[in-house]
Amino acid sequence: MVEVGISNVIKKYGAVDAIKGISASIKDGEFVVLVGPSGCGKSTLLRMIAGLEEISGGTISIGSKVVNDMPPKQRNIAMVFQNYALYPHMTVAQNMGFALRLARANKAEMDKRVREVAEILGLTEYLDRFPRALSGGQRQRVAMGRAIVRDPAVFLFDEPLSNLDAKLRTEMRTEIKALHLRLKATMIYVTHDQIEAMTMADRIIVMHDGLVEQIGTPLELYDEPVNKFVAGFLGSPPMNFLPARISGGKLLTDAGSDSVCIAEMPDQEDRDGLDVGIRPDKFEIADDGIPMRVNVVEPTGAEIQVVGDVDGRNMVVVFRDRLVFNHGDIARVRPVQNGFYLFDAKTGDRLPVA
Amino acid sequence: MRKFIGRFGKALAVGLISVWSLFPIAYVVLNAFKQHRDIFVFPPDVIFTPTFDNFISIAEVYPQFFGYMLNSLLISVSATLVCVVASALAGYVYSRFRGKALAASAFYLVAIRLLPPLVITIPLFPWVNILGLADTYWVLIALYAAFWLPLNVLIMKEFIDQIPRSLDESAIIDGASEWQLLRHIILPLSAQGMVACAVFVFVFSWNEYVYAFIFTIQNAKTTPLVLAEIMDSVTGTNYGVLFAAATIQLIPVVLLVLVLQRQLVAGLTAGAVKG
Repeated sequence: MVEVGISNVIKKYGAVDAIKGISASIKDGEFVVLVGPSGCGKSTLLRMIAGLEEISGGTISIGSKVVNDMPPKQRNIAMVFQNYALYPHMTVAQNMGFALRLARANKAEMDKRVREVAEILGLTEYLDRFPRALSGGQRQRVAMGRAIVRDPAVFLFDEPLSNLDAKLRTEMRTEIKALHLRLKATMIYVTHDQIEAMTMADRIIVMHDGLVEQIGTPLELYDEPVNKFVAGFLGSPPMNFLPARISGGKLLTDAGSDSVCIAEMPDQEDRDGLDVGIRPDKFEIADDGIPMRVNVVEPTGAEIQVVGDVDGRNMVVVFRDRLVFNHGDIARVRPVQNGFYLFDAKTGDRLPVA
Repeated sequence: MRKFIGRFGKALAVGLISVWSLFPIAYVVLNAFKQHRDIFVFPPDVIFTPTFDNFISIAEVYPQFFGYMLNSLLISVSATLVCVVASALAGYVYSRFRGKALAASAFYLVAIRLLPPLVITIPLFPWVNILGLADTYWVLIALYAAFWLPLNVLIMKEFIDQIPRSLDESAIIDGASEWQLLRHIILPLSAQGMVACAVFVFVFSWNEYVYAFIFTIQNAKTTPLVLAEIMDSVTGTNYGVLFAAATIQLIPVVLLVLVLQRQLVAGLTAGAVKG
């Protein structure tokens, strides 16, 4: 069993706290994605698991062993780097076999293993090439092959797809996921791309500012975000936020000089300082809805995205119906039943709606 | 018209530089194949029947010449090896590690080159004698290697700085020890730098005169000293022999540069990372 345990982990660079106390446990065979905006500490955390960064506090364990002071090579991990980090003076086969060569593996066995993995990744015909003669996608595969060859307990991925173009990225996403199903190994994957996180992860750890915001399955996080940050980070296009208040059993938002009723909330006490969050696809047209000025209309075929603003606050609304809007129109929209979230505007915490 | 002037100017510049640097070499090499009496004829004959007399005379008049060439070769090769290995290792340390002591030592490394070499050499003289190193290979090997060390360390640091850190990290995760990282990744990828450093030390050691003059008498004497002796000859300088000896002295350096030129292949690091 190779769980990865992260307990109260802290990382300080001088006076700066890059990671301010993170705990998470990753199950055997699980695909966990660390996601967050740049500078949130996700790569640092991954590098601490790899043993490339020292741990300033707390413990990290792999399997049953605490690895805080263990050098990387004893941790039984493999890592795929953002820039691939292939050895330029070695062929694909040599790159993939390097770890085995260092471990003084039998030559025949090593060749066999490299061939097997090359087969899986479709690299067989490139084994004698040098990295400079490969395309970006092929280099990426070699980097993964190098990790797979070693049959590690834990795979670590540090933004492995961010150097690829959009089409290739989508393909590789599927490939990595398929690889996970095949190898059934524990994988920890860092990305700033929430789509990668949503599509690939068994569970997502959302990080922000050196702290964990929320841990859960993609749909848990999407449906039940614990705060405004998670709600706004996951989902594309992102959730819309409008300032709101509850008054006389109604949820109101101000648009120009008007107060627009978003929903009836008869059981709630009056209160100010709220943010209402509505996902772009949770709107319907309503004559007494929020007046949104239409700026841009982007049809994608399956749906139309309407980008506009309410009092200068950007809004994106997605309709599956082929409605016609023109630049400058005022579209009146309101959230569908139970289609909105409430947050405390100060703390960002989510508040119960019912 | 402007284009023509530009091209003409370029060709002229290249021509001038070539003449400037090739003239002395051509002068020495051509005259090595002339009879003594033809050497200082004015205007010089460009077309003449070459003769090997001068080369044969070296063997007759200065039979030790080839022995001293061997000295030069042993000393230059050893100094080159010592200096390149030390520079590569030190360059790695300066490239990958940080610290106050390192920063300070880097400063002294450069500062010591600001002094005229003789200022450092003269005080060495008594020490070399006390240690019994005078007129040995060791003293010249140490001096030549040390003379180029500071600059070569900086060159190697620059080369190793170009190797992405993620390669180090990747190798470490692949299970490489520090030594294996050096041997399998850093050194092969900084080979170009090592070749450049080697050329500097070798050419310097091969041609160096002052240190050799001060610290050797007989056993460790090198070719430049012999060339000087041929020139100072009491019986009058035999220029033909001098030029022939100088021509032979040129050969190893030219060979070295020709051989290593092939290894100065650019773009070895292309394809390591994105791009």
